[in-house]
Amino acid sequence: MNQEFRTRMTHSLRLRTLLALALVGTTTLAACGGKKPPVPATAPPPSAVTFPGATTPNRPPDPPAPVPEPPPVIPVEPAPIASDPLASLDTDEINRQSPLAPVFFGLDSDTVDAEGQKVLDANAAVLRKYPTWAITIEGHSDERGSAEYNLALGERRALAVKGYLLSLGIAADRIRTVSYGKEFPFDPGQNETAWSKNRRGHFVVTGK
Amino acid sequence: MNQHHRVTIAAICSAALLWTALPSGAPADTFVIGAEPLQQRQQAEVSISMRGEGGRPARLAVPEFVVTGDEAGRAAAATVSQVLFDDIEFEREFTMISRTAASKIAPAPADALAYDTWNELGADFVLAGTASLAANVLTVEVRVVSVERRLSTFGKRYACPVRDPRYCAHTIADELHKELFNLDGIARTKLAFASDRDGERLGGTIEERSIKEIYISDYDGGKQMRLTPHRSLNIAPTWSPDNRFLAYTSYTSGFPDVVVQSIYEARAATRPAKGTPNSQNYLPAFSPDGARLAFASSRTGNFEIYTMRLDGSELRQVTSHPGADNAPTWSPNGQQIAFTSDRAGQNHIYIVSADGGPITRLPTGGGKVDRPTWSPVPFNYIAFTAEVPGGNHVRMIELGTNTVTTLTSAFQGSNESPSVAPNGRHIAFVTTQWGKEHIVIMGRDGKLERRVTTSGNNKYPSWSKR
Repeated sequence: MNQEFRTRMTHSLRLRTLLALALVGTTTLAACGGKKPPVPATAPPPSAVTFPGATTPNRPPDPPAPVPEPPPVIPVEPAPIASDPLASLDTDEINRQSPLAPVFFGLDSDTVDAEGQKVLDANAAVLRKYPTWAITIEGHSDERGSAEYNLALGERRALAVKGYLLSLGIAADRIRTVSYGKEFPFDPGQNETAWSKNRRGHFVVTGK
Repeated sequence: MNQHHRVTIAAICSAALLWTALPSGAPADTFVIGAEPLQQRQQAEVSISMRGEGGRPARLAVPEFVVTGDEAGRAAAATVSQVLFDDIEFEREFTMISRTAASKIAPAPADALAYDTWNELGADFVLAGTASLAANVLTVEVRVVSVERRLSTFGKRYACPVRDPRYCAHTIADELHKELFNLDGIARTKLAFASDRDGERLGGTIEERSIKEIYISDYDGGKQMRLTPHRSLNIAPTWSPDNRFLAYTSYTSGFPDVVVQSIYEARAATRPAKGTPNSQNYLPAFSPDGARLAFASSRTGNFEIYTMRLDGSELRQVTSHPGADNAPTWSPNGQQIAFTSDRAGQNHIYIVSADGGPITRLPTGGGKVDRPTWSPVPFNYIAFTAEVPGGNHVRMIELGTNTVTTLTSAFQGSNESPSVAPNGRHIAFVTTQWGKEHIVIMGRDGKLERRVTTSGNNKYPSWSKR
């Protein structure tokens, strides 16, 4: 049974893209057992991926990585390789899960504060984990101030966020910026709670 | 007495009128309404003041027209009469006697007016009209008659396509203002603006954002129609001087870029600024001669003002400063550009030669300002948005005296993005007075507002140049 399972996995692998290789073998096996493991905080780079029993072109015959005993396999068609909930999704689905948190700004400010830097540090880690992702940083403002001025303010915010990510080593060619000014409020309310949500650098994954 | 307010007129007559073949069947707004002066029996060189006592505006009544024909003719004539009343009232060369008061006197042709009754009602002039419908042509005769002198100061016959009575009225209003006051009226001018009224949404992202498309309408909100099919964010339209093109800021490609689009002709829209994700372009404005566009671009890493020819050639960088330079508007002679910049910390309005060089800051008073709009001649003012506690107000600065006036004091909510009518006497802007964002027009003195839009959010108004 285990052998048959591995054979099917191998076959499945050959049909899939390199993206599938980015998955951690251990968690993949666990997922095929019907349980969703927690997503590891950091994934090893693709070159570190090993797969017990899998024979992949251009791969030295590494010794099998230590693998915990797979849980009992329920005799159903194996699920698609989806241990990493984000890796197999299209960009629309990824964006619905908001894997890159927004950065918020003070009134009329384009300064990324300490809290914003923490958010961006985490976002940078995600971008390192998914090195093929391309992103757009949207600069937004609240409804106060005039429409034309807020276009420029939104641009400054987007560029400030981009600049901080560049300082963390994220490649410039992965990042686009766009300002929407006050055209797309996230919260239509007319109070500070809403406004504080609308002054943001917002992340959209545009390619993977 | 201002000579423009006196007209040399001919005595009214009831003799046979000239009749000529009348055009018909052309589409609205491209149709040239047949118009001819009504023949006068005897030329009497009589000078009549178009002003009331003490130079105040004369009091004008616009009663219902005398209509021959069926229900369709009566409905069209009623529209012409009402729209004509509204057009004349908005221009404020006359003080209008209310429609309700005027309705107490039975409609009559110009040669059978009840002068005594109109005099008792306080009318200095009566706009008397007749209308008849035949073969889808509404023939309208209008005269402006002095109640005191019992003489006609304006008389014309119009042949209008019956399906477009509003344009018929706008034409009469413009010709009336031109002949009686030597005034370029705005009744046939247009507005362009951005609106989310159709409730369409961007696809793809979780935010379910409303798209904005470009719309145009008559100056008074009549005949609103959508111009763009982009299903994306499109804002800040501006008219070419010949009214044939709109330039606007479109996010169709995922970033802002300048798009120039023909309004009435089947020709491809162009992107003369050649935008890319790293060269984004905003807020175009046609030069007064129509040859160039001024716009803002962040291609060097922050907002600067540029100009280019309509095909994108002869690109010139007008400003160069680490601050954000934005929202350009041309002076009436095309020699200068006013723009906003936050180079001094907060947004101020500056004036620069269209070829670049030294800049001059306008003393607009305290607070952040935005969206300067230079008035046409013979006026010389710049209308702009000024941030105030709780929102914005529209203000203007007279360039001769640097006098600053707030125009929207009577409005609640936030009021911004002014655009000036081609005769300089009126202003369109955005108000949140009624909750959502709506376009409103009013006099440059802040009086007599007219709401233009009623559904969705509507912003970035631009008044056509003619």
